Amino acid sequence: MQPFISVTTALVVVGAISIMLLSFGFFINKKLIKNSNDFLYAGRNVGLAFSTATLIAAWVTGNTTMAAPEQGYTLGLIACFGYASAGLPLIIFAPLALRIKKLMPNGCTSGDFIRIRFGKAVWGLYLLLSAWYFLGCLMTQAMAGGILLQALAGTPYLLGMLTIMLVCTIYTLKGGLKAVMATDYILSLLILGMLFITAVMAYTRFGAGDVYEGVMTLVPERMNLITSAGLMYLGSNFLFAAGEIFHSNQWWQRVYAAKESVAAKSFILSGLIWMTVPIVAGALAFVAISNNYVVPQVNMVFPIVVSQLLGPIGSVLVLIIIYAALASTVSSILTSSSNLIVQDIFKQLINPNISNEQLIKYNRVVIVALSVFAVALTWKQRTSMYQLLLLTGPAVASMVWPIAYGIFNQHTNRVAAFWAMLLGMSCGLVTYFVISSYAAPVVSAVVSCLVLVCGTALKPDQRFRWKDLNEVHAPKEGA
Amino acid sequence: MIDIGYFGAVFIFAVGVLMSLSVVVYVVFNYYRYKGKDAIDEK
Repeated sequence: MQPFISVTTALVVVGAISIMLLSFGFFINKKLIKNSNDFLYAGRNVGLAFSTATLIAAWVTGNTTMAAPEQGYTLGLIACFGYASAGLPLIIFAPLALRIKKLMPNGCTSGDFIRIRFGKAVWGLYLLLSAWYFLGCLMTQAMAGGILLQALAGTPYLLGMLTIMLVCTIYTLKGGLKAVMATDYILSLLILGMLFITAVMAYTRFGAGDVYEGVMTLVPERMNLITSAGLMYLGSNFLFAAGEIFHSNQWWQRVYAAKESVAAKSFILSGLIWMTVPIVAGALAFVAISNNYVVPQVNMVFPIVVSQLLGPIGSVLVLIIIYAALASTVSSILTSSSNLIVQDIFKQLINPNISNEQLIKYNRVVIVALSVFAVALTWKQRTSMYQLLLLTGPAVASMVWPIAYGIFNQHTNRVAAFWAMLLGMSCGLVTYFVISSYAAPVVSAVVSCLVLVCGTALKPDQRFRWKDLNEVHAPKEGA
Repeated sequence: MIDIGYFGAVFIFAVGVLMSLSVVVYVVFNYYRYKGKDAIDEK
């Protein structure tokens, strides 16, 4: 396939964004990082604009920009709406965010909540499922970096994959969550602005009517809103996304970082804004279908469509959008996962008296280790990013009910929570391989809900007290 | 892979939507239930 831009142009664009990100990381490390609270929770004083922007940037992943068009291309219009429904869990997380702020004002990780609320067995299972998710997610982002540069400039897959991972690792190492949030602010503006310019340019050139006619002539079933795969996708996507958001330390860390007065508002705003992104990106897939573009790999729909439509300018726009989306997500996963591993495993099991300096040092070591591990796992290119991500669906969907129920119901049975997660995940996994990857989150969430609600009704927990959650203490400032 | 057919897919969709709505209703209901109150331990 003929590259759309030269390797030099691609490297100049990637280099410019990388230099901006690295400069931010170094600047923030030098000027603004005074203690581990700054590194891990951005000082716990983040306002509405920064909080909203960082939530948007973290949730607009390489999957949103690349997998939404992939889904639109393979499943049709219903998939675009299905993908957009993943914005709703951000909005629904707002009441949970408020409650978390009240219950655990000094909380450090999502693991803290699980450990105190449900005990060590559930906590151990949670850490395993969580690692399953963040590694899967990190792998898809790394893959997206490789595929992006390969599709646009014809560079080897490994070059793009290694570049994105290297740059994100370095700037996350330097500035921690503060650098991630500051860059997220710029990256989210960049993503939203560039994406809308791209969509307007594409539809101005072809016209919505022509695109519709083209799709109806060539592949009319793509406009069918009740295809079987599309329906399953639409029915499961909310539960999958809710699982991702409710359990992941990525979002809990942002709750702890935000001021109490803005935590809920920022989740609502970011959810509303986010929902437009997969619809706009996914809509471009119909331009590809109507023009009968050759798409050698479904992952490449977005870069190929925009580059064919808009020439080299389109390629540069795509490169900026996806690189920005990938950078914000990779750095966000790295900070939240390293924080979870150090606080929940190292601090709880090995050294409870860890100092502030050690906390930052170990976080940095884990960030590097996670990056290296993700690179090793994605060294070989895989066919579909989204199918890989869907493999985490059974794990995350099994945690939706234990977390929501555990946050509001004092008598949630901890043994039932354990079996809800384990059985939900197992049944979901069997469904993934036996029936459909789209049905897996539904089965996982249903089984988990039934086990948890029945277990709690039969034997309500009488030991737990809300005030137990207040035992978590944030690292002391000033170290 | 087992082919669950079109009605199987519709069933999965319906269950998925119901489960999603249950999560939304549960969270929103409890938000209003606890709005403005501290988390007080029940006996």
